[in-house]
Amino acid sequence: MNHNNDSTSLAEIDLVDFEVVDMPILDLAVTPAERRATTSPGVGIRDRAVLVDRPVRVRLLAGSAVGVVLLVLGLGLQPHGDSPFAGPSGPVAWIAAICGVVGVWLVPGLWLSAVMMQTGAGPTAWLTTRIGTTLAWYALPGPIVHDLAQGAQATTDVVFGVTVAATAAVCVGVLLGLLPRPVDRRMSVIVAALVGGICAQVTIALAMRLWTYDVNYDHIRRLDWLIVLACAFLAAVGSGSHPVLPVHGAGHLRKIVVALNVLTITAAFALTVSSRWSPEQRMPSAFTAEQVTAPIGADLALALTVLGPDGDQMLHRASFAASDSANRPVRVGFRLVEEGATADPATLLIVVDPADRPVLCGSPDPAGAAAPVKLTVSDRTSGVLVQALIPQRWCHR
Amino acid sequence: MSHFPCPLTARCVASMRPVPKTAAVGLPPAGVVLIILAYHHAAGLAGEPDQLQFLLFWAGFLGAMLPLVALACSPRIDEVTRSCALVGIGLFGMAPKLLRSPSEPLGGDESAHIRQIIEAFLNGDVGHVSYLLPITQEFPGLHQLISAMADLTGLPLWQVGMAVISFAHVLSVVAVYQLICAVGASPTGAALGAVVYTLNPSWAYFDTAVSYESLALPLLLWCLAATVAASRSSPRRRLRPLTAGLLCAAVLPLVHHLTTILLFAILVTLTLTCLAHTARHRWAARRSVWAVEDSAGTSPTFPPRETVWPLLLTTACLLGSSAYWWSDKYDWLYAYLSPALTGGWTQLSQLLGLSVPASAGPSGGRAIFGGAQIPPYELISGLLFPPLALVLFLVSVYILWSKRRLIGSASWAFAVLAMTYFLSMPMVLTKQGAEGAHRYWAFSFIGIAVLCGQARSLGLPSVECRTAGASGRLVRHLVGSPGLRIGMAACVFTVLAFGSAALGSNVSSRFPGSENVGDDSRSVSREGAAVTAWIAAHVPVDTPVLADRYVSQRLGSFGRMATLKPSATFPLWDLYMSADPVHPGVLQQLLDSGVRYFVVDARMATTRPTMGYWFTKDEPGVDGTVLSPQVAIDRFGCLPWLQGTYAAGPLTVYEVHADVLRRTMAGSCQGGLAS
Repeated sequence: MNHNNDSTSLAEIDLVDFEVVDMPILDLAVTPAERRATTSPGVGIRDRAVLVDRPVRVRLLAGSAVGVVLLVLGLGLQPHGDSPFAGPSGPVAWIAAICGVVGVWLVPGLWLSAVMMQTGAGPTAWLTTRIGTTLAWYALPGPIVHDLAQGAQATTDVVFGVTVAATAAVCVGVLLGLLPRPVDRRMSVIVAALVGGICAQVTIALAMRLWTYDVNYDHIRRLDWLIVLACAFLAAVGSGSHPVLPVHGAGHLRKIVVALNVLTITAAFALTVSSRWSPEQRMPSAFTAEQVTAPIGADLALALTVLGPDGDQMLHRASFAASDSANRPVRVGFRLVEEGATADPATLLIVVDPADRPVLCGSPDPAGAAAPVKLTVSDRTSGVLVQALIPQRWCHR
Repeated sequence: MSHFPCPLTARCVASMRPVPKTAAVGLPPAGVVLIILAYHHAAGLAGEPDQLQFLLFWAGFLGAMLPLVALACSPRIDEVTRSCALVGIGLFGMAPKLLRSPSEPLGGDESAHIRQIIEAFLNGDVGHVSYLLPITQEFPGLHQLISAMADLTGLPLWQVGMAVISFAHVLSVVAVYQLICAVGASPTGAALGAVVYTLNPSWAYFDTAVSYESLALPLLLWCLAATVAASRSSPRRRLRPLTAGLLCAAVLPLVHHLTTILLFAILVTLTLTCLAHTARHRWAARRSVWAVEDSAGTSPTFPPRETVWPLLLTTACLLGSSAYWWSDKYDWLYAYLSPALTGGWTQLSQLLGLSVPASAGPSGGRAIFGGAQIPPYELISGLLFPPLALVLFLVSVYILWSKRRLIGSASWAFAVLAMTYFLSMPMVLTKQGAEGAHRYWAFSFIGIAVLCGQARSLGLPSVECRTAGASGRLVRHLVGSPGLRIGMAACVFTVLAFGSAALGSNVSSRFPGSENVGDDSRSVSREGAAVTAWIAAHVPVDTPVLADRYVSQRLGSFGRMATLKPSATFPLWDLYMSADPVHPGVLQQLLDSGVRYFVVDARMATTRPTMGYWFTKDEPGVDGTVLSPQVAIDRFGCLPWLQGTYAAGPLTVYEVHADVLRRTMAGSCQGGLAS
């Protein structure tokens, strides 16, 4: 419950168990020790502001730095070339994933919610802002860069680069805000903007000179002024604002840990139980068929692959038949050859009865005289239907 | 400060029982287990759903949700505990979806979005051309977000997508809470409002899909919370919430069109009510009537101070962002959105007898819960849902009106929004307007949630508390007994939860079960996956392919093919549905479109799709009972320009030999030219 004695709370209605205020006011999270330090005699206005902000600024810088380092580490450790739907395989991939998740949570949500944005007071408001800023931020860089850079692709490098550049610019501002000089607040903001802009320009120039391998700087050249302006603005904001971070007492942390434990236990229960009793849609088994090169002794061959636990039985129950392109039955001999485990494809060898060779080869094919002969093979049990091509030279054997 | 001299409330609070922390901590894992068992049981059923699956599901869902709700709404907890409870509600609200489709998309929308996400992830594409759902290429925010997260974490795309939606789902709860706080409610009232919001029919199912509203709606709520907070805070503290609102307004047009339009409408309503409030305030200030004693004659009350320019600025930012991102899409948007509105209105007019049907075509009406396989208690709750929501609305409006001097303008803006929920109800009776109405409820329910939350904060008017009559005694008894009050609240929550599920989704989406041919939610099959894998391995990306809707969803997403859709002017469905020789014009269209593969489901000749159509809702025989002719399906095997190169179960992939087709133009198995 937020008791707010601020003059801005005009409609404060004290009911029995709660109060209604016009808007919850943010706790600036200043400890008594900090307050004593800032109110001691001989401390100037600017010095006081610096002293009040210092712990929060240092925490913010540390958090953002950790976030950026974890993002870099995560990207560096990620295995490349895996399917986008494959989970992490191996401890290194898992470490990369954990680094990435923590990095994404810390950057840029931490500085956005500490320096620029807020939805209200209290832990719920802080959480709202953190989630909102994180979701909104990562939706933005791709389309903006794509649009401003005339169709540039929104690759990992783009998202990572924009995020880290913005974080660095704000951190420069936050760092400059720790300095007691210049005394004038407006001047300090201007200095921060200048430093931010210069740093951005120098970084771009150095990168273009030193890091030329496999990087196309056309888009960066085109957007140079915009990047510098944005960095200058962010540095100014970082310097001029009073960062706010939540302060968690031991009691609060204990509750958060309990909540995280409940979440972990629920997830563990879900994984354990669903591995035994799967909640997923159960799909009927089947098998696939595709023509492969026929071995010696066979006219045609089909690779058959089972799908699902009952696919193997379906394969053995199959009743194959063959027909020509006019849907006339063709007498053929089938032989199922299975090799190794059931997961390996079986091969269906097909030998056409020589007596039916004229039937297949004799019918005029609208596709052309030199076109291969088409033989339709179907399984009457499962409905699988595939067509195999017999080379025209087979007819002249 | 104004104290309400209501002994009833004091007694209630004094006798408040300990908050159900233990239950809120212990029951969610058990609830998840019960939901898994419900799904497992449902997946094993051969035919119709049975009662046990619903019982297990509701035991798990309500068993976990009710303690969390009770904890969140308890007045005797600190803010951290309340936050954890609200986050728990948001996360547990994702449980049905997470368990229903843990490893792959479910339905058409998710398939279309996952394709965009794949292209953004693999190639950095922003708005890849989409054949499954063309609108997905115009609004890339969701895809970019999920792709960026997957890029930076290295986790699988689908799981990252679900994680992002889970976060957004949590955001929807905490943002509603913050919005109601910003409007002026107490934490307890705001928590109650957030719980009411979670009972809207879209929240548990529609808004948990990897789709547009699942992200856009929470962002809208966050934008509203921040903007309302900015308009009601002191100048010194206005900048940060305003920045949050502006960021959100800048992002939203990239994420979803409809949400942006509705946010604009809500912001305009807020602005107008704020202007009216300010004008009234000034007028009253001149006449010095604000600082008056309240009806109890105890102490003066003050209206909250509000500023209109944060609302205007956010609206301007939203308009600016929309103008920037949508500059070449206005016609397209109009063409996309208008059929549902005009068609729905036309059908509604016909149903109400306001206009005469243009032709003797199929009726535009639809039966409520027609063909639903839900248990009776869900059906009854579904029917009770609107009246119960109306009661909540009316009671809240009555309380707010009776204490109107204590509340700001935002409450009345949200009352207008809440009213539109009831106004949209008749559209549910029309085929074309029903989907739009369903989707709109998630927005209009924000109004109901805000009103309920604030009404809870203000409590019953003091005049009722002092009423000595029988009705007063009844009210006092009902509201005064904690046990009865908690029981009633639990009953109302349960009925609304049942009704919300019944109204919000169909059984095949909610539960796994027997495979349904031609059903978005249940037609996922091993053979479809095998065909997709084969095509993805053998055919270049974005090769034109023709298949029915249900196979196309997979081919167009994981298979990364350009899945063309037949239409009245591009009637390639003739190949599947007409026994007559294929018309040369259709064959020419086939050549022109560059279709390289057909995928044919042999079951088209033996069964009807559950959703009533194989390709689109415009195809011949939609919703009918006529099967595709066996001759048409067999024709694929004998046309000289087709070759069935791969088969998986009933699906066969036919490759088109364009040179043979160009030479022969054969429209039938006889090989001659089609007439």
